[in-house]
Amino acid sequence: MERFEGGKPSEKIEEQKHAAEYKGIFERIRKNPLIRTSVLSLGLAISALGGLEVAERAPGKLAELHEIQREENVAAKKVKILRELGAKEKKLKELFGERGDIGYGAIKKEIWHEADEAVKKREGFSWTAPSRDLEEMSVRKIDAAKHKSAAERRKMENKIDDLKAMDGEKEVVVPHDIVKDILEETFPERWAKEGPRRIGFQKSEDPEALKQLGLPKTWRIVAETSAGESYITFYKQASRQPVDKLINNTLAHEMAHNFDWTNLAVTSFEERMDLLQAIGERIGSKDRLKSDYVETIKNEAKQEERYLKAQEYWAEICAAYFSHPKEMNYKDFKIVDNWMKKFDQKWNVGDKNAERGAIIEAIKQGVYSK
Amino acid sequence: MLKADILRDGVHLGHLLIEGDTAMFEGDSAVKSLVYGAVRDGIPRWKEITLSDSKRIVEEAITKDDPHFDLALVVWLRREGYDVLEDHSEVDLAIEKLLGQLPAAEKWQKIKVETQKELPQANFLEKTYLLEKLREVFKENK
Repeated sequence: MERFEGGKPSEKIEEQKHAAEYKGIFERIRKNPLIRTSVLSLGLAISALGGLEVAERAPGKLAELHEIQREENVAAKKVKILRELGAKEKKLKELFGERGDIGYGAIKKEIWHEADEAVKKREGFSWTAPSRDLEEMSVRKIDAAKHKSAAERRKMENKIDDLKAMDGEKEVVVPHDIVKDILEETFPERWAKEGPRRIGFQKSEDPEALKQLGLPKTWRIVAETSAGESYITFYKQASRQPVDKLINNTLAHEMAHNFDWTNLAVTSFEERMDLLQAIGERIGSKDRLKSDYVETIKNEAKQEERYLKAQEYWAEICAAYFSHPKEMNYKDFKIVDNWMKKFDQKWNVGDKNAERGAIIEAIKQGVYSK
Repeated sequence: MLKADILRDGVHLGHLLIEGDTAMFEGDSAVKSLVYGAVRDGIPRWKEITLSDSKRIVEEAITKDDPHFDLALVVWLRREGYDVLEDHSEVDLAIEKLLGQLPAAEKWQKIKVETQKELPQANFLEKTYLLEKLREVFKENK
């Protein structure tokens, strides 16, 4: 990051001073691993004693299809895999009703058509790679609005307002270009590129808004995310929290909604099914993260309630991941960490959280500049 | 029941215990006053609601009678700038229980000693990681 170059000599000295202070903050915050090497080694030793492999989980069922090109009994194997994938789909529908169909049902036919073609041609069709082209082609029919053209995306970029928050009793302004820096440099690569197209701040909420929405007039709106997740708006109430909470928690929570199992950018169908399944299991576990965002959700339709809870649970564990990962249950951490690595192969949450922490600290001390 | 340590800027300020609609705090007098004031007067809670066109985080006022007051109090304290480290002694107990069931062979006992040595300074992520690894081993050896 080159942030302190150019300017007059006096400015230069000031910038060098800022750079030194900034570096000092950064050095203090980083180098604090989430899981110490000694503990990691111990975990590996435990697994080794049990005769277990600690490598990544077994490849998905779709990955097995890659193998069918080399096998004779293609039809039998294909039926077996179809049955296994169907079982996953059934389980999701049992848990979440129609919400459990995250697009897989609608595109299954095309997947199998492609598989047939690949087998016939004996070409290198990879089931392990994200089936992006195929998905885009198929999903466009389901929801064209979710797939904006590149030109349209570019047009909508850079619409970020200055955000406001607190540092103790003092109000802190996070300029829009620094918000953009934080997104681009300290969140997974694709979060900034394919995340919300607008992050806004409104000093006051529309007094009619609560009435129009049929909500109690004593409530206040803190933040809003559009159904297509193309924009996030923060209101005055959001600015009353510490700046690190605004960025690491509230913003991360809202952005996480944009990158769950409905995001089609880089993940395969099976991966998305697995994520929803994993979250469904976690919200039913005793050792789940307890959050009032999740616990307060009530809906007469139980499958719908479970789905809404899954959405919020996902957003909450993401917020924990970006703000205080050392206080997460490893089961939740593993789900989020694996997912983030699909959006950024070089992703390291410890380093990136430290970098974001340093930027936020520098903003608070007034030593961060472009 | 929820137990937690309250810190600010890395400084330990006291210990919080919430059970039902009762909260007890031992430690820094300013935090104590803040916590007891919250229990007496209520606090703002944030929750997310799903509407047809959007999701909105809304703020509502709640009192200690709310069934999820304890969770809301923890989140509110975090928004007030405090770090709230929840007590998860049940994880320590679960690890100790599994360690106690390890075979007597030297290789297992070595793991037991090493794990017990690491536990006091382990964070929650590390503890749950170790618990997962131990559970996997027991599951595999069933």
